[in-house]
This record gives sequence, C-alpha cells and structure tokens, in this order.
Amino acid sequence: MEKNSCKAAICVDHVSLKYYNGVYGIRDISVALNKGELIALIGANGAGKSTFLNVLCGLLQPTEGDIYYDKKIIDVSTPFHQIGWSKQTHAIDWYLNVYDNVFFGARMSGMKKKEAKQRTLEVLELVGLLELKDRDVDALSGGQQQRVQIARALVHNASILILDEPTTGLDAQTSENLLNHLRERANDGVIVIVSSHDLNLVDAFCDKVLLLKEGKIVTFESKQQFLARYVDKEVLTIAYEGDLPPVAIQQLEEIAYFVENDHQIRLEIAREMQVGTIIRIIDPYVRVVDIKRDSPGLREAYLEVAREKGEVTQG
Amino acid sequence: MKKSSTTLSYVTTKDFRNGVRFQWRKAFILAENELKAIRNNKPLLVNAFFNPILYLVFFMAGLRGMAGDIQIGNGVEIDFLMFTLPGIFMMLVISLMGHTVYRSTIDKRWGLLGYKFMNGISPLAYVSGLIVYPFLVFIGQTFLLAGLSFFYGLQYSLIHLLLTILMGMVAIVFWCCIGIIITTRVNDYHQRDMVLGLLQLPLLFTAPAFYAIESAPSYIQMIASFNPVTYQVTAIRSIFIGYPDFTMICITVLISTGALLLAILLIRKAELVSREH
Repeated sequence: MEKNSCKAAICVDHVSLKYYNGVYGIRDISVALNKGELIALIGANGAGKSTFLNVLCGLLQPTEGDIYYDKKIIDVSTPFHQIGWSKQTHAIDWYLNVYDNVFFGARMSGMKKKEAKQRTLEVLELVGLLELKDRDVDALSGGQQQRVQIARALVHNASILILDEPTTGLDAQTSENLLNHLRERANDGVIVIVSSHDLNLVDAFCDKVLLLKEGKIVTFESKQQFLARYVDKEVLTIAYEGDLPPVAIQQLEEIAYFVENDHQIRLEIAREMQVGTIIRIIDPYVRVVDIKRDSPGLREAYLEVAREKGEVTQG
Repeated sequence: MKKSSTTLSYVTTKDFRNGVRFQWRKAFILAENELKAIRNNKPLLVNAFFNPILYLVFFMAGLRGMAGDIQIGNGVEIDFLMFTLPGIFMMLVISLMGHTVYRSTIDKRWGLLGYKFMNGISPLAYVSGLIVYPFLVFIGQTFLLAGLSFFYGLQYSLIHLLLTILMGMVAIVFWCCIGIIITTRVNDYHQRDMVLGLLQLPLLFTAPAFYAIESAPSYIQMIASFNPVTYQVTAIRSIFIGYPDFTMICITVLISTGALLLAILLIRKAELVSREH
C-alpha cells in the first residue's frame, strides 16, 4: 500500500513493532481494511497475529509506521466505543459474575443503564450464556469464559470487531453460530478481523485472508485469489459399476494421479479440467453411478503455503 | 498521513491514549464495578470489617491498663486508647492499599487496564474508581470504631471525628496510589506480594501509631522520620484529639498529592499488554 493512496476505513501503513530485545513482533505490514469485510488472520504460532491485533487496536504502539482510522468511525477519546475487542487470553474480571462482566462492557461503551441491561441479556442469549448469567466466571469452563469475553466484545454496536482466536475452546455449534453472527455483522458494514487456527471453519465465512509468517505478510488478498494462487488441484471421486480395463487405467494415469478402490476412483485433477474428459475415458467400459468434486479450502491452501518457504506476495 | 486526494480524514492509534479526558460518569461506572467486585470477595470484606475491631477490643483495650496516659509533643497528656485509636485508623488506611493492589493487578495481568483506558477511562478516573471502596470502608469503620470507643469512655467532638475521617481519606489517596505505583512497576507478582507483605507491619511499627515516638530508641526515631506513616498518623491524631498540627497536616496533603500525580503519570505510560509472570 502506498502512503497517501489509502482510502479505506483503516489503513495500516508500513507498521513494525520491535521489542526491547531487538526482535520484531511484526514487520513492515501494510494493509487496507474496508467496511463490510470479514478478514481471517492466519499463521503459525508465533507468526505475529496477536501482536498485529494488539497494534491494530492501539494497545501496542508501532515502533515504525502508523495505523490510520477514518475519523468518522472512531473517536480518539473512546476508541473502544467503536471497537469490539476480545483477546486470546481471557480479559475478564474474575471477581465479577457473567452478567456483570458483559454489563460493564455495555456501560463502558456509553449505554445508559436500561439499554445496557437489555443489550447484555440479548448478547448473553446470543452466546448461550443467559442461563449462567449469575455464575462467577471462575466457575465456568474455558469455553464459557471465552464466550463471556466475546459477549462483551459484541454487546455494543461496534464498527470494528477485532477478535483474537475467538473460537478457541468453543464447541463446534457455538463456533459456527459465532461466525454466522460475525458474517451478518460484516454484511451490515462492520469490519471484522478474526485470527483463528480453525481454518475449515473460517473458510466458510471470510472474505479475505491475511497470512502472517514470522511477523511479515505472506499474503493479503481475497479468499478466492488465495485459493487459486495456492491450490491448483481438486479431488474428483467417481463411483461406478463394472470393471475398468488396463487401457482405461493407463489413459487415466496419463491425465492425473489417481487411486482405484472397490469400484471407486479418486483423482487429483487440475482446477480447470472438465469432468467430461474423465467420463469419456471410462464411460465405454463402466456405468458411472456417482460423481463428487471437492475443492480444497483454506486449510489446504494454508498448508500449501506453509510448505513453501519465504515466498512473499501481496494482493 | 495527509489525505490530499480524498475527503477522508484520519486519526492514528498514537492519538488514542492522548485523547482520553477525565469524565465523572466513567469514574462512577468504574467505582460501581469495583463495589460489585468486592461483593464477590467476601474474605476481603470480612478481614476489613473485623481486623480493626479486634485490634481495638482485644489488643489496645488490653494494653490500656498497663500503659496509662501518654504525653504527646506539646505537653498534653491523653488516654492510651485515645492515642492508639488513630493508630488503628492508620492501620486500616494501610491495609486498604491491598485492595487497590489486587484490583489493579487483575486489570494489568488480564489486559483490562487497556480495555478500560480505550473505553475512555482517564488515569485520574481510574485512580478515583479504585479508591471509592477504600473510602467507603474507611468511613464506615471509623464510625464503628469511634462508636465502640465510647464504651471505653473516650470523648471527642463529632467535628473532630469528621475531620479525622477527611484526613484519613487524604492518607488513603497516598497509600492506594503507592499500591497502584507498585503494581505498574513490578511485573513479577511474587516479588510484588513479597514487597507488600514486608511493607505493612514495619511501616506501622516504625511510626508513632501505637506508642509515642519520643520514648522509642533513637534508631527507630531516625527511621520514623523517613516513614510517611509518622506524618500521617500524627496529623490524624492531632485532629482527632483537637490539637491540629498544621505542619503534619500539610506534609500529609503534599505527599498524597505527589503520590497521586506520580500514579497518574505512571498509569498514563503503563504498558497495556501484560508481560506479567
């Protein structure tokens, strides 16, 4: 991103954070975050995801570069009125019960008592904690504690949601509900940035992928571009009746790597290859009963990138 | 970043903390939250309630018969209990520092400090919010102790008692700010607990809280001259017995103001992402 050219809601401009010991937490990160985008922040442990999120919301100051927020969506005297924030470790008050933790967030965001009460109950219902609202947070499971923190991040109508591994410790259904909700918020124009290791899950909801490695950007682009860039294969599974003759097997081997097993073949084919090409080879000998084509997702793409060492591209 | 090519106007994250201003409303919300947190910490409540009473009823009242009257600096003789009751007030003041330490530790350790600041809590509002509970406990306990002392025949005016409470609150500002300062500066909580554990009793016992400093060995008198409790307890006592020592009162106000300013400064510069261990 060129300085002075950014017109997004949030512009991260050549931001680095160097610790006292000389090690960089993040290095030369430039991204533009637009309203209505749900961005998946991914990377291995220690890649700089949490550091980046802490810098993004102002809790850590960059040692180089700057982060620019559109003045229309943020008030510098109360930035967290517009930012819903949840950190990796539970930033909750251990001496308050579930309700009071979330209610405090609502009051802090500027709501009057009556509105804060109503909104607190709504968001507790959303995260499935309404029945546990009077329980002390230290008596909850790790996943439930995580939900308290998420509820507090969602309790006010923030323009930006910055959530560091929100699905950690959550059961599958709650994770999916949460990401569904975040998707809806993004559709309403909220900027949502979520770090997660649960790539299969975020795959279904995110618009863009920001991949960090050793504090640097490996890629920042739309999910489709990311997948197209790093995953050029698909898996085709064909079930059939009859026997494939050696001549057909030889023809298939020339086209793609494949495995034959009990009247079923699995082929790794190029994304652009037509299924008809395969069918034409086997159709004279067997009766095709089922065809399934699987596109690899974010997880496979991430693993592909992880195999490549040190490549830096930015979309 | 100048945005010459667009109508968008930007602020940077560096402006965030500088933009926060003191708001009474935020301080009130924080104080309300602190009181809710205390409600869930019953051991602290029980401790704060019983300790000063036990000291008065069993310790000081027991020693009274042995000690007799005590002569204070200006030649006035007062009852031992009248002398030591301000010492118990002072003990209460110092013990309330523990509250601000454990609350500010939670804020720092779990990242709530940053959350609060980014929600518009200014350093002054933060300190104010944390001090409300110690103030309330001190006011309540002082009235209770004063009421109990009537049973031992102590007499004092209500005005003096109210001014004593006011002076005690000034001292609370000092010790609570010291607690916050320790929390912001020490990242190792074992080290912090050790400092606090070692601090409290020697502070009381090297100051004229329960005995006249003039009767103490010279090394204690020397240590006492560096101990803020000496000035605070003398100021409180002088008001309580009706012979205000304005020098001690001024010193007490000054050191509290200094501690408050230092605490605000350190909170303003505090790291918002914890490196506690």
